[in-house]
Amino acid sequence: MELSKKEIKNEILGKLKRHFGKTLEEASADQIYKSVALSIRDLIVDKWTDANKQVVRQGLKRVYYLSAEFLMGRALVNNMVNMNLYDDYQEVLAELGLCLDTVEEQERDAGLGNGGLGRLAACFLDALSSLDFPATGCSIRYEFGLFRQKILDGEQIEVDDNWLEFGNVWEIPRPEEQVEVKYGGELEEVWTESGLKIHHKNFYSVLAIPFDYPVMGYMCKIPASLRLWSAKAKTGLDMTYFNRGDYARAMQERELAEVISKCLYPEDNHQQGRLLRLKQFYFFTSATMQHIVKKHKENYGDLHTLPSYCCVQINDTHPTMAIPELMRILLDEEGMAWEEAFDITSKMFSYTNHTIMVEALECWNEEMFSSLLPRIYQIIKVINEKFCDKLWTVYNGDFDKVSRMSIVAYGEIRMANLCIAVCKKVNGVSQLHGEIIKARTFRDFFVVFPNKFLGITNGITHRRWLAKANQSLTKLISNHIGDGFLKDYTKMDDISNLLTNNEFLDDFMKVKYENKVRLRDYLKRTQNIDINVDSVFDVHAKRLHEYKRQLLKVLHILSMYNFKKENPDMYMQPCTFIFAAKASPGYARAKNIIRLILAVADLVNNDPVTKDTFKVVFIENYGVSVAEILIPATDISEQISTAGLEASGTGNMKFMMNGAVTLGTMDGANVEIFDAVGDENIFIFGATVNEINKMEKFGTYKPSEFYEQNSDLRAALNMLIDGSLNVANDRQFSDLYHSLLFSDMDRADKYYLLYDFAAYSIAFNNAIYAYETKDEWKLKAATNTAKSGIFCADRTIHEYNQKIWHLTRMD
Amino acid sequence: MQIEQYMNITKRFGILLEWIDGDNMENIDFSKCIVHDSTKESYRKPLGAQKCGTTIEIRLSIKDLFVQSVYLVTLNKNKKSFHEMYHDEDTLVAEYETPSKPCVIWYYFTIKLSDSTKIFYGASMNYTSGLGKAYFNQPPSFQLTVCDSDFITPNWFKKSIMYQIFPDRFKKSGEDTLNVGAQYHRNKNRSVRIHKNWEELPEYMPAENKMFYEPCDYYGGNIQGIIDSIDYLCELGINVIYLNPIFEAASNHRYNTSDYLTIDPVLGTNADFNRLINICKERGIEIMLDGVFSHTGDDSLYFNRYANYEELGAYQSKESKYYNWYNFMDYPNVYKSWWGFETLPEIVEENQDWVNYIIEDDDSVIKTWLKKGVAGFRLDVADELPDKTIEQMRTALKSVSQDKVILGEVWEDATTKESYGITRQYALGRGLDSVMNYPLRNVIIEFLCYARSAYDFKKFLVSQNQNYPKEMYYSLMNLLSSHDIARIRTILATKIDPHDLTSQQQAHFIVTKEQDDMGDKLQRMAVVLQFALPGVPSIYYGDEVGMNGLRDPFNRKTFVDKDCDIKEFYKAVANIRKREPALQTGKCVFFAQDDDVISIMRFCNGTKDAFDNLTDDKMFVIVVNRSEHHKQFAVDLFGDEQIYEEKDRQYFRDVDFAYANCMLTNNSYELNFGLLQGKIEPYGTLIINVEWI
Repeated sequence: MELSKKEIKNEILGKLKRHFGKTLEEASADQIYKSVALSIRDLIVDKWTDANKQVVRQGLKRVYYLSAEFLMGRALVNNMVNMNLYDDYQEVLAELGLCLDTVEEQERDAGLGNGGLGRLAACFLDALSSLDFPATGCSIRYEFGLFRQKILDGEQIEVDDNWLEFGNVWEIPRPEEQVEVKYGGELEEVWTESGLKIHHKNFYSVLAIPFDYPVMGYMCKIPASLRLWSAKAKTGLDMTYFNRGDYARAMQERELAEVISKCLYPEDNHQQGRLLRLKQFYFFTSATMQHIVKKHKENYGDLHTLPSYCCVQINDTHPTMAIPELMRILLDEEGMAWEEAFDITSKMFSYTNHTIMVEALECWNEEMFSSLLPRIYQIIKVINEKFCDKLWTVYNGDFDKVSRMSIVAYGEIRMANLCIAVCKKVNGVSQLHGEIIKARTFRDFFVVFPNKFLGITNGITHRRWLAKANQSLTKLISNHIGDGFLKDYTKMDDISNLLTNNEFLDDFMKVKYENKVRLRDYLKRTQNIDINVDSVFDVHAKRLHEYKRQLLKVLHILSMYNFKKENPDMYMQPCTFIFAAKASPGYARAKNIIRLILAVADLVNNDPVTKDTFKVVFIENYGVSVAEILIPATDISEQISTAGLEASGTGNMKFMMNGAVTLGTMDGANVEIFDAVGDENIFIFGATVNEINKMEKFGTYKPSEFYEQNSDLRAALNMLIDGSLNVANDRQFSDLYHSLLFSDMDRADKYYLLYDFAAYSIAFNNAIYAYETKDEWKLKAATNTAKSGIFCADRTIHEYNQKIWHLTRMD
Repeated sequence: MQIEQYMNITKRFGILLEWIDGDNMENIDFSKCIVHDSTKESYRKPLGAQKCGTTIEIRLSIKDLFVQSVYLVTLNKNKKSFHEMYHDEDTLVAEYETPSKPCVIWYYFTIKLSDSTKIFYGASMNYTSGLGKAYFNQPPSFQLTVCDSDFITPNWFKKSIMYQIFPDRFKKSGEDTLNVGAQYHRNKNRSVRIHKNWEELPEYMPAENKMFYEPCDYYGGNIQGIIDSIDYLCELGINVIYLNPIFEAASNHRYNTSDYLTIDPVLGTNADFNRLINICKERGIEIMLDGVFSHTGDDSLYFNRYANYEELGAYQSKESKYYNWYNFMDYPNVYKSWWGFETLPEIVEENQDWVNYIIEDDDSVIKTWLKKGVAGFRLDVADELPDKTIEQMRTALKSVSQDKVILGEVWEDATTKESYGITRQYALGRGLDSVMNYPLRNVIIEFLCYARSAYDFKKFLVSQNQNYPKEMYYSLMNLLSSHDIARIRTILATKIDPHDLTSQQQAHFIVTKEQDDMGDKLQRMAVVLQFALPGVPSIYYGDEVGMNGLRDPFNRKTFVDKDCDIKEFYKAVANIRKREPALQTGKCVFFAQDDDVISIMRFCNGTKDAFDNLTDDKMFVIVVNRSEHHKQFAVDLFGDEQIYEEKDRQYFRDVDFAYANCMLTNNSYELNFGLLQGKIEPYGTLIINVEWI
């Protein structure tokens, strides 16, 4: 992909001229961004088109990664990095008097995801492509991504994320590949010469229009595809109503149809099955499966060979309906017999679980489901029947167990159980999570199908999270070991050889400092907040959820505040406590925790005794682009979820890769970070899964005992209700206080904050002591980066491929 | 008739019922609305065979079905009784008291639906325990074994490992004994043909000038040979030797006894035998003898057809004191004989003279040998002996010592065995301590040869566990080969049915190297299963060095010791078994997982074994993968498995499991929340020691 700087310049100016009729001087910032983006897009699309032809010619198997979310972030600079054109573009833009960072900021984040799950899907596409595996991600082209978060008057305000407002240069609409998705109606059984046929009548249908996005891997042979389906009414306007002058009615059908791809639901771990959500999931899975079948017939003819040419990974249960949908196509449209269709289907799918708590597994109301998707419902019932027959013999008539394991029961349809019944493999996303789903979440299934379950630890793409987000560090590393590690992650291990090189370690800390300055400038520019770059940057950045324990961090800040107030003359290491978290709009307690963080910030940042030592910062609108600035600047990475509740976490990997030292519990992938870096290079605290399990089993945990015995903790907790914090309503935080000490609906302190508080304080102090010993710290920080190779998504993809997909790379 | 009349249409499993014509009730499957699993405490408590006069709670669970009344129907012999079941929380229950005399009770349920239609619930077809099924007609019954309340079998025997020796073929020490013995028999005009070469094939065709094949070829294995092998046997870990007949007789197998009180001179003298007993005692090894009492040889001290003995025999004169032992139809040449073989005149066991001579006199045959230190008898063809005779034998034997063992040759399930139209009582506490467990051997072969899935194998194991009285279950002689059947290795290696082959074909049958390698793999699995199960594992001589052989006489080839991996494997497994009480008298639970993997959990907890004897706490989980694939296995130690008692499950829920290590490979296994899991190789066997705090 050779492109000289001169050509780049001509391309950009040419695009400006042809697409916008502007010269550089006249062009708006948006037009400049688009011209730059289009110049590189052309290169990608050329390659992409050729490669996809090659895939068919070589008869390569393709993985379809189905996910309701893809949290892609911005594409422009990432594509430059992956095509090794970053420096050239930067120079060309400089010659044109432009700054690449400014150009980049014109691109809207593709925020089609809530958090880890969607980001994982995005990292996987990058890694699949970088490794030259044929891959297509499939999802919905949500018109509105996850809400944008503003902080106003001490609380979170949600603003819509109209990311397509100014168009999207990366997408290629493919209206010729549109398919029809049918909802509602009734079924009619008809006996024909070739047996029983199901006729679906009186349904209403929606068109699914695909928009394809090339996802450019690093120096790759085949860009991956991200196919996003957009809903469109079959008829634009109902002319009957229109001619009568009933314009509202004439538009109605269109609106009803198009609302399907309107917006992404914010997750809150306890969502009620909503009708629109169900429509969304069926919409993109049906469209995808129809597309897969159609393509296969075009390319290879016989559907019996489908499993040899493609496999489908279901990312969490949202896309589960792809399974009965494929059955439906094979049975009703292709006229196969049940066994024949099921044989094909059962070879195609695998399922990635992200959930630990059984009660958080996705369920749909049976009535709602059957009226929206009558045929899919019928197919699920038959799968269920056959599945239960098997379980009945295995579990010898254990009513309760079989009904717990069945797919349809008590008026609910349980998507995880459907996945387990049909899928070839079911995987957890870290080793610990893999063990927990075997031993707890899906224990009864595991005992029957032990060969189905496995754990594959998540990974992150080091192209985006190192090469793009932390260019200074990437340069530093490349200067020593070359840039081969960007293609071959195992070369990252070579960084270990540099850990004895003092010059490298000093440079490493210089890079860290530069990144802290970058964050400081960013915060100044965006939120007008000043932070001290010489303080420790202690960062807790992830979705807001009780189990992730932002509240524990806040209580600890309060206790440090109290300590400083009692010992005003004692020197304490200056700390900047940074939070970044979106709370689901419907998750009241989470939003209240944001209020609390802001109130504590108000207190600590303005108290003359503490304001020069401690600073509490809440960064607005945490997303991919914010993370790219925040993570490289971090000293301490807070990964403090209650042990056993975080499936993997991927933030923890991004931080450690960028030289932050983890302060965390033995949870999710933290366990593997611990294994990788060794106990001197991580600060572990708190109850283990086994300890918590024991407390749960015997009901021995009494948070009030900790409240009584630990005076620091008590003082911090009391501040939530004693008026110390400046809030309009002085009972604002009594719910939080209450939830930790008293049980009513739920057990008190369900997430063991009080239990872990003392251990956290000690671990935090240890981290601070270590930070103060600069020589010690730089080695710890650099060791974290050096050991981060195994957390590259490339390693994850290799594992998926060896254990589940069995794809071959394109040559 | 609409189905709604019966059913509160259930949402329990989404789809639960199948019916083809809505109107035809026969098409409704009620099996998922009604449940009784005779092997779960929630349906039958206490579990398993019971002593006389025990109260048992029998429960039936009915879901989503409207019923008028439900009866438990019990059958004792042909007497039917009805017990109305009453509601107790979500189940129906009846309390049933077992009869005061040992017997086998059969039971099923009748259910009257709300519209008075009657349906039945009984055992699944071909099973007498486990999960049942709904029927529209008289169903198969569940078995409830009721045994004598004083039934007890010797503890030492339950903990034993047995070694079976066919004496002529095990080991020869010196030439003199054979020469003396051969001369002795020749003097009595008996055929004696001596093999010069220890390793040549046994005769299987009529000898020169003979009409029929006779088992009169001798290799000269002898008592001194066994004495010389004591170190070998000790190394193998065995502690009881079962000797095929050793009394004087006119054949190499000696099932045609000539003299119950004399050791056959080919084997040695009575003094040699006494020496064997004493030396074995010193080394902690017991000797069991083959008791062939349903018939004698015609060429015997008692029948004396050929006047080889001085004393007057039954054939010679009606005056003979043995005359009444036999049943002559037309004296002297027509008499009742075993399966019509004239050489084997049958005994009239009701005859008191015989009873006195063999059983009851202070110097009876049985007592004589027992007093010399013999540990017990294996009764040849126990089915030919009346229950009363076996009971008399038990009394006599136990009068010498409670530690003596009486074991019967029975080929089927001994609790339900019928012979000559009579349901046999010998397994119910007043007869035998133990029987040869041929059914287990057959099922192990079926499992390993893919004729039976792990699920079906488990059903069998569960049914043996539940149907045998516990005392007998833990004493069953668990054999894989014997002098009457083909050797296990050959069957597993070739998967052949030896009954399909003539003697000549068997003689020339060659087990290829490839087959033998497969046999080796499968034999190891069979051995691990044999040693993992409750009961007394019995090694038929030579199996431990990988001997092959089809049916008699090819299963009786001479023993040649050799160093081989399978022998080391036997030693390793036997020594684990010997060391670990949990594997001897620990409780057990069985787990099947897909078609290929079976697991057996054995444990002692709360410092008690299955008989409440004081024991160290310990658990083993034995896993066997018959397939050629790597498998993941998972055993749920908290699972609601059949025959797993609630108090044990609760016990393990409350302990902290520390680690799980395989005794054979030393690999360790994951153990989270009571879920034991790991990988098992193709044809793999694991003996995992699970420790807790």
